[in-house]
Amino acid sequence: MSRGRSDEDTVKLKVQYNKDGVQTFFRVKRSIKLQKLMEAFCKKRSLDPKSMQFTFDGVGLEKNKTPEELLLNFVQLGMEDGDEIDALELVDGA
Amino acid sequence: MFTISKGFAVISATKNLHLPYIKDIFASGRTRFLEWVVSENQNCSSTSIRDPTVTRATANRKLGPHKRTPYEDINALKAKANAKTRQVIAHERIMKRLSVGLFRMSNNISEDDRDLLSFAFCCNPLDPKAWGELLVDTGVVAIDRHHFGSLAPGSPLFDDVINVMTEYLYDTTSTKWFLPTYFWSEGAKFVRPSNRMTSCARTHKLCRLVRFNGRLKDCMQIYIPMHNDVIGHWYLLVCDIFHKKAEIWDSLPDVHHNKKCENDCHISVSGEAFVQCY
Repeated sequence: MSRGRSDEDTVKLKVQYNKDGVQTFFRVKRSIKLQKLMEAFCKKRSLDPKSMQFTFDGVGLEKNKTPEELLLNFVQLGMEDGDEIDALELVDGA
Repeated sequence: MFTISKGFAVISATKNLHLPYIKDIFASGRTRFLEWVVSENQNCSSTSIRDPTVTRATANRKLGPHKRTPYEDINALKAKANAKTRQVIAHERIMKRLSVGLFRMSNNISEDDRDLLSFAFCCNPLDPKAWGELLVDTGVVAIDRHHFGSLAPGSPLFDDVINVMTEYLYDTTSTKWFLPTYFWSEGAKFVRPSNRMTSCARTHKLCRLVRFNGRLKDCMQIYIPMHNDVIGHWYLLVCDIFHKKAEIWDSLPDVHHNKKCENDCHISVSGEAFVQCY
């Protein structure tokens, strides 16, 4: 009897930081809110979550949504499992 | 004496007066008699079938200010005065919050505008939910209250406010293209020649250049927001495709940083990202 997670329950996501271009891989449950992934990424890279923005194909991701809900959007946008999320640092200026 | 008694006899006949009354009248004299006649007439009119005629004197009229008691609606008056005072205080408080330095908000703005401004810029600073509330959502970019507050005078402007504006200005039929700030951030990065194609694809994806559909022939002007990260300042690069020239629109030109701005613009425009994206 295998105790490993089945692929149907999880989704593989890749987060790329725009400053250095380094990619971080995440395997998350589909029912978990994306905010958790964002916080985990910021904690791993020692970044301030308030100054970060996460986008997929130039479209900003909402924190309250889950990958399951996003996957519905992904189908509409033509995205597949294992695609890339961009982590952009917010810039401010006068 | 006779005439009075005669007249009296007529009256007594019609009103069925009693004898003791007559004696009293004769005893008190003429003045008392006349008073009695008047009072009897008034009593008769109250019992008559006809309605009393409403005259100006007898009508129920609104009391004048000198007759009105000051204690009548004192609570209502107090409540009204308090409400007005509260309103004025709230108005002044909002106006005070909206003022920056020596500059004060004009009192000519309407109440709706004032309420809108207070909703957008004045909220409880200790409430994290209030700061995280989304105020603008275009479907692509969303701004919460914290970032929207950067539009207030004296505070640095966040890039997603500019991106929201470019989304609003986007029009399929327009000959002017408004690019988001990601174009600058991607174009300014140093990219190895071997990674240029990947970088171009990434810029293309981030800035959603697909929506322009490669219609560079129809395009007249391209507006690219640029950022000077040394002094933290936004300026605009306007590429006039029709006249084949580029302009830098800077609200705060600095002689010491002019060269850097020009270099940044050259890198962004002449980079592979700009050329290969179309």
